[in-house]
Amino acid sequence: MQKFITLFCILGISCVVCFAQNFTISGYIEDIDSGEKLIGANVFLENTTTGTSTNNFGFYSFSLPAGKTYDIVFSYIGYQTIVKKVTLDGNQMMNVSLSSKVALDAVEIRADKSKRIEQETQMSSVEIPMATLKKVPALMGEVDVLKALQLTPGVKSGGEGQSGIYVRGGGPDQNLILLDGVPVYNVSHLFGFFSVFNADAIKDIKLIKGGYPARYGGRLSSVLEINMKEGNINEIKGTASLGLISSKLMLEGPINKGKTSFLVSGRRTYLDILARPLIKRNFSKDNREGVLGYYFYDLNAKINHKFSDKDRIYLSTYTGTDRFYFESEEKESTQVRTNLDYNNNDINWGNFTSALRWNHIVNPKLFMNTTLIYSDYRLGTGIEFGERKSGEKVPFRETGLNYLSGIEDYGAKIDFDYSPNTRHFFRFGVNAVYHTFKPGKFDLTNIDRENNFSFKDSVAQQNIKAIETGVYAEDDWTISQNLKINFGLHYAAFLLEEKKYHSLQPRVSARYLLPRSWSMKASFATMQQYINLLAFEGIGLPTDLWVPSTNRIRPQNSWQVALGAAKSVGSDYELSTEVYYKKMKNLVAYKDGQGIFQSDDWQNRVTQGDGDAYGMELFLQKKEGRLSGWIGYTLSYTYRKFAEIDEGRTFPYRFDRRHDLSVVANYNLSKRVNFAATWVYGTGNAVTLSGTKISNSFPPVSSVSNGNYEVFGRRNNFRLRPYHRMDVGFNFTKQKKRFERIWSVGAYNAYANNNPFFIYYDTTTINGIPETKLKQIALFPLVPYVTYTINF
Amino acid sequence: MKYKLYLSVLIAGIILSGCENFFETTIDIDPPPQIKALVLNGRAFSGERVINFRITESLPVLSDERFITPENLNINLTLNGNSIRVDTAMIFDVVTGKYILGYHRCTLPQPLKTGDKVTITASHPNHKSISVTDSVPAMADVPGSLYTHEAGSDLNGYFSYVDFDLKPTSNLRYYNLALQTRKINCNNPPSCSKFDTIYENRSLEFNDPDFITNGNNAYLNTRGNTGIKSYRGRSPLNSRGGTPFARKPRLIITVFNEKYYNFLVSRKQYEDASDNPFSSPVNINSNVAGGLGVFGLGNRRTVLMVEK
Repeated sequence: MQKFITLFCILGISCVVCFAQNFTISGYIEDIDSGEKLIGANVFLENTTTGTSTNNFGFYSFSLPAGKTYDIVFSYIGYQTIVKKVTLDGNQMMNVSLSSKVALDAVEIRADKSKRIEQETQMSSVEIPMATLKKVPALMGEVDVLKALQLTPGVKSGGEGQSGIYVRGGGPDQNLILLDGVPVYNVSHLFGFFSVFNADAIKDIKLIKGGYPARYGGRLSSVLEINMKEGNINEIKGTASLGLISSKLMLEGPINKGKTSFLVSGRRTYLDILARPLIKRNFSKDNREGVLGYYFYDLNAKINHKFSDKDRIYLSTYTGTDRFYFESEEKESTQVRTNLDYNNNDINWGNFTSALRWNHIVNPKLFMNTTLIYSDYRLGTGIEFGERKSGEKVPFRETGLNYLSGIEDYGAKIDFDYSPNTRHFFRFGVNAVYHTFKPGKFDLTNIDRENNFSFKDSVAQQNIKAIETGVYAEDDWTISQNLKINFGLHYAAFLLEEKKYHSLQPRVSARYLLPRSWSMKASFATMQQYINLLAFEGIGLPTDLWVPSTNRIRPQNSWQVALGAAKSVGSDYELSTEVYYKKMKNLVAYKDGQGIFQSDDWQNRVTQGDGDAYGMELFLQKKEGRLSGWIGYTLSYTYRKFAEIDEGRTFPYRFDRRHDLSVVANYNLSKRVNFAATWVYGTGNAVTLSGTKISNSFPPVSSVSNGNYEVFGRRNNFRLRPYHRMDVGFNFTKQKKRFERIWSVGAYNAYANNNPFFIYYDTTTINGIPETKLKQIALFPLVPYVTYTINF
Repeated sequence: MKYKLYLSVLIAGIILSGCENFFETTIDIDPPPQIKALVLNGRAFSGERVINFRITESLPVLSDERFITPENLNINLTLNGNSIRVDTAMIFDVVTGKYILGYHRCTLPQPLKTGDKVTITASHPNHKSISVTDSVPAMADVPGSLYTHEAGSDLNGYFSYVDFDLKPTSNLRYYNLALQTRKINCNNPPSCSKFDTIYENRSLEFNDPDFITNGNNAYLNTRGNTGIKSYRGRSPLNSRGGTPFARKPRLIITVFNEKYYNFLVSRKQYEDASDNPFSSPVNINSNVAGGLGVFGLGNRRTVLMVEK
């Protein structure tokens, strides 16, 4: 620990003192129309590989030897490239506005000859432009960033229609999902069928599957950074859309032109409202009154203010809730004092996240971002039933059960970007999060007014409080024109009342340029994870519970090594391939027979073990042009081994998917019509299923018994059928006088393949003879969608 | 006109999205292949002179056939190395209305005692041979009677709960506890045994996280513990809604060997998992080499409870 702090200080000091002989060009790169900062825009010397890119706030800093004149290229996907001649006779602040090429030519966009895939040090990462993502056909027309990521190599879905992601053999809790830097714990709406991220409010997404830079920590398998738009700084703009299950509205604009802007985006489903008359009629048939419904909504809001060229502040908030409710009551009777029963159920869950970020340019080479974060996930369940006499309001007998669980975080972090010269780019920082885990509280009420009986009780598992801290330092070091490495250290600590955990996690990745636009890349990273999700595999249920490492439950940890090659093919195509091996330890899983919906201490129900994941990924992508899209293929092997599961034997993980293929194509038929299609194929998930039954009767028995136990054999011994599906969609765009309208029509699962959702044994009795069959439920055979969107 | 078309498509979509059946289809698929094996089930306790066991064949999970003891079985049972004659008991088949081959029975020359070792082997032309061996484990050193810490009655005056301390003076490893008492006011005397295990949710609750409690029984996994532990148990015997119980309960302690104990634990887990669709599946443990099922010998002692 002491060595690390010493190293950290030396690194920090050396950043400040060693490279003072250069001058620096720095500034922001933004969209010329909206003023939106562009993340990952390239800044480099023309005809060289020397350069940098903008950070998450659109800021760049580029130090070069003084006294020379340079041609500096500014480029970003989908934007016109600008070349500026600069004579460096001092530090220069240069804010650059790029113009969207879409506005100039909607049919064909020429790819930039800018920074290419083979030049990047970062490997195992995926970036999908939001414009492309929005055109990908989606279930019920709901554009979903997580489902789009499932179409990339190394990322798998949990099951049919599910938005959860499983990255390189990792579990659903091993993804660090950051919305404007704030961790989001529950990323699903509607039991996992939709993600909570509203595409209208999102500017940029980036997924890192391995070779993690040192600035990230806390999860084993991936980091997904989602950045919200800042809001148009120049004029009021908006988007409204009407879909099959939800409507959305997004407004953005200046509050103080050029200084302050805002963005508000909301979405709500309305099936509950549309179906209400139908449900009322059904209740009426049973002589009851009531409502039954489900909805979700989410709201994103953001304000940013520019105090000066050096200081900006951003306040962003997300809130979203899912609610399922069922209220039923016998209709009022004309007979006096008839007993009328009622039954009310309510389950609701949701996130609230907020981030306050302050950007400060300390000097042209040093950029500082300070963030205060708050994140809250809660699940509430309420059940009430009882009876009342007709004509009376107060029930004479009532029973109530309420359940509440969740996780709440307060945190702060400071991150620095330091760019002393063209050879080094340092990042360092410190962060701390105060977690409060709320494993569950039951409140029970039982009142019998006729017999003067009243009972109230509350059973709660104790809240667990913990502090998670991290310190990191990393350098993107250009050793030579061909060799570049990113290396760093991440120190993390998890402080519980009764236990303290520490870890030092080295990270390194490198790329070496080869002739003919090829490059070789390699990475090694260790990760440690202090929080765990107790989840039922496959479906994102709101009852999934976040719990910490404790005295009894050790932190999960992993190391991953990856080796890859990348190449730009022509001017439009990028090809990358990687092989990886990941070793995971102290994974958490339910013991045999244990699961959710049990009330005892969760620590008694889980066990810890190891996991292995290895495989090969191939990715061919075309980001621009009349035809864009990608082909991704993954060959993977994923295993688990727990002493208390399957008699300690190694077994395949449920999402051990040998082959996974995705094809995404996006074709502009004309300036107004766009066609998009996706096709996916995946080996079936591994599940545990019995093919054998044995008698469960012990002698002495008096007659033939048919009671039985099923024999499962090995864990995850059975493969579901392979999954394959094609989605197609058209986007019809037309510029009206005051707005642009887009009709999106398409179909999910266009050839209606019966993909497995779950399987079960079903026994039916025909003519007195029972017959048992294995049934497979398939969801969503050919689901059409239509969405109407206006941009104004 | 075209807006009417768009509107129609939109409305149709909304209606379709409300139709559950539109989004779901069910098809039949083939299950995994069957594990073909002989299945042996049996158990016996110290003090008993008869060992009963049954050998059946495993069946495909989708089969509607019944478990029947196959003919042409060649069975051998030895007690401490000495071969014992194996008799066959017939059982009634309600489908055919006939008595058929049921289970096997061995009458021992003397009651089973600590250290007795029983081996059963069986072979059949269509199956692999099976073999299982178990011995009667040593009984834990527990007192012959327990003073109850506290016992109570419900509003009707019937026995309601009992608190007691169990302090074994030797290390108990794999055992099962069952609290028993007499039913009173039993309306159907032939079905009321003198002592009846307290049923349904009348479980023993111990202040120990290793306990797995279930209805009648509490299993304690003490593997890894070397010291002697003391346990406090509480049985909440609410008689409301059922046949009331008498006071003066007794505790049955049965000690097993590890493999049979693991079978009991896995069976408990299996039954729990059967009630919870969101739990992971459980394989029932077997100690039968070459086949499936379980055979176990237990050492059993009854401890009377004395109210203070």
